[in-house]
Amino acid sequence: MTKLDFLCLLPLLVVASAPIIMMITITISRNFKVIYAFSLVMFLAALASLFVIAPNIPCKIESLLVMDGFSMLLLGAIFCVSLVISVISYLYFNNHTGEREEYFIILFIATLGASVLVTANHFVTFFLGLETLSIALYVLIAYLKHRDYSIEAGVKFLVIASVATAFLLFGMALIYAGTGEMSFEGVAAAFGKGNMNPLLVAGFVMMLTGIGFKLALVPFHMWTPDIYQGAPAPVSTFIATISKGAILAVFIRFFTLVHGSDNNILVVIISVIAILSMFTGNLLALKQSNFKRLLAYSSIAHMGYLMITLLAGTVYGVQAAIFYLISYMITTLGAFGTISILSVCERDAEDIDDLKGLFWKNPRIAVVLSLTLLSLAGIPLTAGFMAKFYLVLEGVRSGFWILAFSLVINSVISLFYYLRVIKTMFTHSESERYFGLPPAGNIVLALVLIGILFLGILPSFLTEFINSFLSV
Amino acid sequence: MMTVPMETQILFAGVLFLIGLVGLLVRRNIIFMLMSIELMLNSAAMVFVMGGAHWGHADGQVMFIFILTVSAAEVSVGLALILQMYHHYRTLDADSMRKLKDHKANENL
Repeated sequence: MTKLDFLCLLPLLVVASAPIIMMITITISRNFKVIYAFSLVMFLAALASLFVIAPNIPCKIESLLVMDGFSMLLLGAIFCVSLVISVISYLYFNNHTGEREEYFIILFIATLGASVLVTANHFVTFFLGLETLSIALYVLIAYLKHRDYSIEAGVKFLVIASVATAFLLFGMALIYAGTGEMSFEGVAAAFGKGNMNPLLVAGFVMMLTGIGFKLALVPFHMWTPDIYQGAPAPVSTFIATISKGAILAVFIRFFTLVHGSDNNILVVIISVIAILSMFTGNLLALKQSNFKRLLAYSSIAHMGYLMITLLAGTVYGVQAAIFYLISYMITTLGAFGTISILSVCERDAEDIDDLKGLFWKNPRIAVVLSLTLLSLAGIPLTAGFMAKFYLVLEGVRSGFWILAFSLVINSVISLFYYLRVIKTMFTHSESERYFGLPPAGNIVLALVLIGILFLGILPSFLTEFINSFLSV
Repeated sequence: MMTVPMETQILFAGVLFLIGLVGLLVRRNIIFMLMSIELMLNSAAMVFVMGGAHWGHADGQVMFIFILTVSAAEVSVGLALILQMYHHYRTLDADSMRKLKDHKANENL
């Protein structure tokens, strides 16, 4: 490793050093506010380090990690989202008692796992990043152990995530046995020779199964609603945004390198999975009365939409995927952020009925939440619309008409349950519940509002930004 | 030294993986489920070692060490969770955890 390699690793090193410093700080004295302030500083430092290394990209660290435009963009997105999640977590845990400081340590470890994933260029880093992320998530999900659901959610996630890892590893092992290569480029070169023997196809399908579990694509989706409901709201935010985004990113990188979209078997499998995910996610969401479960089902559908970009197999597809991911991250932050802000110590504000009369008590939260839901449904002038527009464009351009059609049909279905939530916010309720909004909450909501409207009205700003990075 | 053909090796690992998967689906005791998962992970690790031997690389064995380390970390966190589960439910039966459901959960609230 050279000096330059170390420089390129700076963002990862910053994130990795934070938990160690925090652990030392906690042994000296416990102070929730100090740890919170420190984690904000460290996330900002990680963001700043991206600017430091920007002149050096693309940079490869052995064959293990790669810092190119794609990973820079996603690292930026991950650090920004983590920053906002720390603010949300602070608001959420502020009225809890007990040991809350460790939460931020584990949050950093999970973020480190996600950062390694988006820069991974080798099976070893892929596996290590994924496991760092998953193991940290087991703890985060069951963090509030006195709550009724959290242990159950944690154990369920433990079993499902380990099975997914086992499938993924077995797939990787088969590909390694078949090609003798573990770096993505090496595997791609071996695939490129056209010898797709049954061993490699089996390996690829098993990897796809593992990733399907992690991304919660139908038929591997059963765990999502349970985990989203059982986990504390900020942790659900983390799973929905960073965890899924990072896993999708590494999959996109691998899939485009090996030109998976040229293989007919894989294209058929992924198309079927995508269509099933869209329909199952949206149809099951229709009947939910729990807001977290509703968002979980809608996330299944959104991951189904994103599969279109994978099949397109072009640089435009990658661009559309990043745009979609970023807009989805912002809107999900808005939706789960609202739940976190409204939650009380005993339970999360997770029933749709909890939102009753929100508009009359605190119009600011209600307006932002409505906009978020409209963006998730894909109404024009919001980020979600432009993101879906690019997806349909990619679907049509690469000839996947059925996928593009089912996306449109599903957007209509999804509008029904999103509007139902908005309707609830505008009905009157007699309950005396007070919806307070701390200043930091105001900032988060304002950021979400600006993000959604800005991307919806001026999408070319972000697309050009993405282009300039991807062309490096 | 007699070498076993690649197909046999992979078949053997595949059978181990299946035993793990079936064990996971059939067993209801959470500790046994965790053990079945370990079996699945180790069968994958074995394919890595076999691949390494076949291609004459050390990579497969390096990956094996990583898998060993990571699964140890996973089990330690998993056992901590199971301990909490035992405190909470007074049983190790995975079926006792059935509160998170589509409709049942909503009626309780």
